[in-house]
Amino acid sequence: MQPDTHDSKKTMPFQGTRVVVAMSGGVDSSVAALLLAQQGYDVVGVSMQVWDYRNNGGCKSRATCCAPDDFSDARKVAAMVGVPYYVFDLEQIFREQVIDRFVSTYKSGATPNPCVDCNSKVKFRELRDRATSMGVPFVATGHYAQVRHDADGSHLLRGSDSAKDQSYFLYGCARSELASTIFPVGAMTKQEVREIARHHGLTTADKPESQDICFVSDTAKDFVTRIGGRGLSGAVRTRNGKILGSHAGLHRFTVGQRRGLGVADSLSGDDGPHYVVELDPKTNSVIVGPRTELERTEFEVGEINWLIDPPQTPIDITVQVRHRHSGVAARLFPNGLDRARIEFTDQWAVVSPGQAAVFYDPANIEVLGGGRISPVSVHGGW
Amino acid sequence: MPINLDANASFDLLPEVQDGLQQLLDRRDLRGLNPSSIHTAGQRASSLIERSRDSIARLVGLPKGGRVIFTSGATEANNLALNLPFADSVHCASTVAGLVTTKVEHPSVLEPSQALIKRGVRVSVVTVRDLPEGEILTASEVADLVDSSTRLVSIMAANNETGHLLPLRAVRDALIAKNPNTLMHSDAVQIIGRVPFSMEALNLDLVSVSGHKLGALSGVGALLVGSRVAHGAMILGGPQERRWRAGTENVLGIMSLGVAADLAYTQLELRSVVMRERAAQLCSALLNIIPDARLISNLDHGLPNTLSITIPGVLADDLVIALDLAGILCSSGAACASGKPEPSHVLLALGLSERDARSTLRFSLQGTESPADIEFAAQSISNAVLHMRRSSTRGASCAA
Repeated sequence: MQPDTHDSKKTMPFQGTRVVVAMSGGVDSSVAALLLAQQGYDVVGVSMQVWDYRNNGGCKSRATCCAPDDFSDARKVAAMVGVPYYVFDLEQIFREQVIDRFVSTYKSGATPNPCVDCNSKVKFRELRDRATSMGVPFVATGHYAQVRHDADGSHLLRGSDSAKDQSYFLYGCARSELASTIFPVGAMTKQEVREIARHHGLTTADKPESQDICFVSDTAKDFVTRIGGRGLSGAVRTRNGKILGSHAGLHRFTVGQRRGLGVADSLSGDDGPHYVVELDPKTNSVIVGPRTELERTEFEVGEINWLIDPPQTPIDITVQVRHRHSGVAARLFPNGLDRARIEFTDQWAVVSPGQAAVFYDPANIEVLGGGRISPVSVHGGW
Repeated sequence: MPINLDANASFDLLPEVQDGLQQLLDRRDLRGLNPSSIHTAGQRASSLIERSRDSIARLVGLPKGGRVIFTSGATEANNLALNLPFADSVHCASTVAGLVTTKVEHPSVLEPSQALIKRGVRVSVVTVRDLPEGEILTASEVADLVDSSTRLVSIMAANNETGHLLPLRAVRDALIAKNPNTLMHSDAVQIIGRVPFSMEALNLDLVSVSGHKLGALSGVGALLVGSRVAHGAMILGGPQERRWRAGTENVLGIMSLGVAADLAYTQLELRSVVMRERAAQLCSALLNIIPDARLISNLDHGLPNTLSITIPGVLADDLVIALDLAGILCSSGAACASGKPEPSHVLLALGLSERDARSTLRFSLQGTESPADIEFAAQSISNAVLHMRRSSTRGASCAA
């Protein structure tokens, strides 16, 4: 390690503290790297190669992150900021932990959330493990989320910009690692981030937003068909067994979906338009019904990761059941360490098995934990 | 200043080369640098590259009647060498023409070989294995694949990843007995400037050389062509390089190559001795601190500067990054421009498992390192390895 000879930097509190910054080639992580370098951190820029676009459906979509062009943007930004930059090859682990599960979850009739898997099982885990093995104590990303440290420890909070908040995707991170995780843009708005990037002439300043599922260049359902093969066709029916039509594979549907059911709208009948209310892998059928059949007063969550001491008794929470959902009041009844039942207390929300349910405090700011929404049980509160 | 133990990827620019370039760039009367121009500025440029031509010819031991053809690097030189003997065999079904090469060549030989297959050339590839005395193939294995249709045998002089030397003289002798008309090419990029080498003594027809493996600029190289090789070209245009390679010459690059060649020629023996001593020092220090490390190279019979070493339980790519952050430059297998690290084809050909290949590092020395540099490097390497092994036993830590 070379001693830094710039005397002016000596006043900086983080002088010489090493941090690995995950750089996607987008504006948020570019500014994250810049801000940390300005604070005196010894920044190491890293991009994670998770998907080979050239051999898996191309990269026609501008929405993809991690594409080769994005790496050259990240490399350029690292050079402008004056920090070393490396690429980690995570293709194999990404395929195992994210793609395979994405495809199999869809095919089992649930709706996967690949970004949660990617963050917790691939990006954060690999970034942390490799940083640790290289002797780098801190990890940073350009996510819109915040970490607050107090006497109780470290707490994961929503990002200040409620329109950009990404804390929903981060509930799977290890509690013990929050203390050494930095989200440099978490307290900023997207506009502020872009302004900083423009002010410093970063090439990524005006880059368009990436979309949620970075590896899908067509639609998620076409992707599943392409990678996982065609699904079995089956019946579209109502809960009381009336067959309304047929479908080309469960993976083409999501609970709560209204359009594209392949059944005539005239069938909406007296009880209003039909929604997908359940996907049943046992009979391979799509069950449709009126909106009232989506109403549930409670649901189960499994594979919970806690960012607080796991509660022993029921607690009041705000629960967020999708990325673009603002959260509703609920009561959480723990069932062992990693399962819980959630009861809506005020208004209900459509829940899709397979998606993440993330628990916030009643003020809807701090992430308490989260898990995966379990398939509907027969005795569910319909 | 980081310590460059990655000389097989690129030497440090030699101070003498830097000074020479600087002096030229500092001249305020520098006009155009087109060696083909008739005027005095053109003549000056021309004399710069001709001086370099002589320097390279002397260093590589060009036989009488041969030529030095400057190229954009050894990749272009290898492409030209592989194509010259097959210029007339395109789409001609009645002609049988053969090429014999080895499994451990650089991609700039392997890829043109693949392209020749598509043009109807019969390509035979000699496999390699770990033999006694640092050998990885025998001359008779090469000769067995040679027949009356074989036009070219292309064998590297020393492997870039492991430092193994290939038996050029024995192959040449076997070739003369089997088919004296067969031309012989050697990619000599890694041996030049490390071990004494003579194109004339080895009776070679084509030899490829790279600038930045010698301490010159990157983007310049040369193909040395003996008198038996029929004239040909891949890049067509003006009459430069006696029509072997069209295009205005890279004057600064060629000049730097000449300076580096002169230094390599005068310092070769000393450099070789220092390389061997320092590499041995690094090797014994590493094997001492990391007892389960396995040496792939053979320092007694191979290149004096190249140490390929398998460190079980460590991902070489990660170690390269950790060492970079600690101020030590090295590489895992060959440098990969695409950013997509595949396990080294050379290590796999030598019988390593994919897992071991991914745990193999290459340290390659320049011969300018001090014993203290090596001590520092060995300490940094073992620290990084020990730290990496400790942290990997701690296991994955992110839940959910």
